[in-house]
Amino acid sequence: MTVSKVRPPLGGFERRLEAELVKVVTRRATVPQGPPWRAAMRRPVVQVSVAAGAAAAAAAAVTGLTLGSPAAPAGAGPGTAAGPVHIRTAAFTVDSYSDGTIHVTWDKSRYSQDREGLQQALRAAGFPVLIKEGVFCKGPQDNGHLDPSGVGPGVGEVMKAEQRADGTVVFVFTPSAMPVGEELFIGYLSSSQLAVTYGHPGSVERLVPTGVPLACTTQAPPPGSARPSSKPGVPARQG
Amino acid sequence: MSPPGELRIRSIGTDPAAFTRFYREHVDEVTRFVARRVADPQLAADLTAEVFLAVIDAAAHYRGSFGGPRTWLYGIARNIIAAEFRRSARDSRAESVVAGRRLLDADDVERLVEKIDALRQVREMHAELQALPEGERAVLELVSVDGLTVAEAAAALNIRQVTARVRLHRARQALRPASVQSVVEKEVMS
Repeated sequence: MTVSKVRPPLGGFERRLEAELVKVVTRRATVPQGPPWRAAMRRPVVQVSVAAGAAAAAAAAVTGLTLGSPAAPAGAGPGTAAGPVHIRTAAFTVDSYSDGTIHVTWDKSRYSQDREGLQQALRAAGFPVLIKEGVFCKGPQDNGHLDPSGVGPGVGEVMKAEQRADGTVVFVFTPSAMPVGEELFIGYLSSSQLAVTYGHPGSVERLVPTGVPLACTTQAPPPGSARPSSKPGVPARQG
Repeated sequence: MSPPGELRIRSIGTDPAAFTRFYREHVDEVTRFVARRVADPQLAADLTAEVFLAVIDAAAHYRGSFGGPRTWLYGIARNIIAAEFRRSARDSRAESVVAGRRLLDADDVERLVEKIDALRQVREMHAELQALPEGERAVLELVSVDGLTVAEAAAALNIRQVTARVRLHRARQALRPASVQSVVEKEVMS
């Protein structure tokens, strides 16, 4: 496609769409918090919402933690979270956005305690992920290479850490960047494996194939190849 | 992009005048982007609306990118289309009430159909690309179907330029060049 130097006149649909979208922007300007102004314009995503609700309920059931409101967190970053998945627990938050990304925050002292809840929440938001603790898996064809921070090839394109203005870190997951037939594997270090990160909570991330048996081990990666969890105000390494 | 330009884009989500300028500048481009990927005018209308809704949502987060707002817009549009394809593949659910299609009248449908028909050949080529791995397909789509440079495609996909070049090379190796490239370049020039 080339960019036309002379723009064609707007048709009826384009004019009506413009009018509707301007209403959305106007409402947004006067009501900056929360997604209800999107309700009139968005297509219903009933099944996804149900899945998200189920995941949220499951997370609450597993952890006994509280779920927040479906509104976006204050200062969440890219405007208002308007996707169908908004999950809050004491250990993490998961918000899906209409640009296709999923924003996740977690409490580094708690996130590994609810890995199943986080896994369910990310899957409900459309991001394929497998999370384990104390176990490290790779695909049968994977040579096991990790960079010095414990991140395998390709991970940086589906998961990035961004620092917000307030210094907290948000992890941005991009489902559309995930290669077909693969998912993200996250292996948290168990308490007995923290020597590789000098006592700090840490994890290994790599892309693994789905639908085939993975090669898993309880042997911790060598020192220097596990990602220490991001500290408050310090973004984790972008894979 | 200069800081004032960035600020202008960031205001899209809350400034109706800024949004209107952006919308009028890009709506035809977005409609054509969508029409190269879907053949149903109703769905094309829905997706066009969703792209701009996503723009409104994401504008405050805009931090400039190589190629400016256009590559940013392409990145958003691509995510919307990819999400739609995932939905279709996952559950094949019937579409229910949708904003975009509600705004169509008979003339609009006819115009969209004309646009969609004109892009049939490119859309067929786009369908051929579905066999490629996602990462390679994404780069090839943006470069060959949408006419972005490799650097712009890399910016739209938020990957390094060298990664984009490698993927593009692999994708072209995997496809028979004659069936893909010639068709596309004709469309890009139109």
